Amino acid sequence: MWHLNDWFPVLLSLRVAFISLILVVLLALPLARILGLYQFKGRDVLEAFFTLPLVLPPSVVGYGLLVLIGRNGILGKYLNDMGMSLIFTWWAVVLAASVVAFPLMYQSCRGAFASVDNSYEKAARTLGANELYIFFRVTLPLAWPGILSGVVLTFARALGEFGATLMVAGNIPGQTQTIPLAIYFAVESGDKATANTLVAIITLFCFLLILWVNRWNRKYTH
Amino acid sequence: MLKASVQKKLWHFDLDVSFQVDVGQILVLWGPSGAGKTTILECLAGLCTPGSGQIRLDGHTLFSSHQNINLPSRQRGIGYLFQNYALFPHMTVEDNVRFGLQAQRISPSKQKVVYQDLMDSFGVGHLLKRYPSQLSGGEQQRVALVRALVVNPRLLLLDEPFSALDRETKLALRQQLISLHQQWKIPMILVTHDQEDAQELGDVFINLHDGQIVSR
Repeated sequence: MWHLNDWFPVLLSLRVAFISLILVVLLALPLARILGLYQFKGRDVLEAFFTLPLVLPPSVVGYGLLVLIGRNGILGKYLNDMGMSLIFTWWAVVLAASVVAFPLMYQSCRGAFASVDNSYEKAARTLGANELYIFFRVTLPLAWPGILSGVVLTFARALGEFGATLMVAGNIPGQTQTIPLAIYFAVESGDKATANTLVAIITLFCFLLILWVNRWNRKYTH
Repeated sequence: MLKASVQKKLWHFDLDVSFQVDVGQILVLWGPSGAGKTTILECLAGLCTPGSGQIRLDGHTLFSSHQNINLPSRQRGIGYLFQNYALFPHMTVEDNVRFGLQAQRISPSKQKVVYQDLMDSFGVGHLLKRYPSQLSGGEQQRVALVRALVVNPRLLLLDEPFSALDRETKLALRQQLISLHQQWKIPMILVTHDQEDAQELGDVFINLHDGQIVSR
């Protein structure tokens, strides 16, 4: 009933989710701040583009990434010339997870920053603080609950990514096989014990994560 | 002394005012809501930019459309008491009051000397460890005043400071403001709806309607 031969998918999934999370935070947080502050021509188009991976089928995102980083792809060609290849490596798993999870982080940060009453920032300015100081001591802490929920959603989405991953990284046991892929192929091959165990692990993990965030948020906002 | 002339295009009308406040004076900005009172305060404090005009405080030019000068808010030395007080909800009273000193890199040993006396003189010295949400309206206002004063402003702007308070608290704070003004001797500008507040506190009056001064 319960059995797991190989812990590799669990470790890979965690590693991929963590790295994707870091990349996505570094990219989405500043972008959300800047696009929230400045109104310019084409902003709506840019934001629609940022949100696209959230609504498109993962296979479409996967196809797009193949066009980009495939061996004859737009970027892949250059990487190939330099003797590198992303496709069918665990870095391709990170890329797929990051692209698919990015809109969640972007939207959360955008909403979180917009929810901060700007009179606090104004007050800080009149007290002699510069913009960077205000961002780290006023804006970011006040936006934090919203950003944290974005962090959790991003992590969970990266952990569960399946469709795009399969297309750009394949299902190579010991190299690119994450938990969702391992579950799918365990079920395919009738290995119920492995599927049960992996399903239990990922369900419990996500459940505890969300429980912790909800509790933390309640404490923080009080 | 403050000398200002501010012109700015607003949604429904054009703001166009000129006035002067001397060191010992409180200027009262009076008028219906939406007349441009808060916009004037924000232009003075550097929180919004006038279309044209000039703002001079104690001989320094803070803004001049002619000379292309527009000092950022943090360099203007203007204290601002916001209508909702804008106390940082995630910081204790002590951290709120220290914020300006920390932002201006005043050494921690000097910080406490500066704010403890002020806190005590406003009767809120015992609230240092509380959060703003745990204070009454009157206490919040006093803390916000202390926070604005610790950085030694050369001009104090008060945006409807009594609007959210009950009558008793309001009378006490009005008295406090009068003695504060006598002690600090900096010009103040007070925005209010209330005729009684205006008469009790004001030395100079500006009655504003749709961005224009209708009487002084």
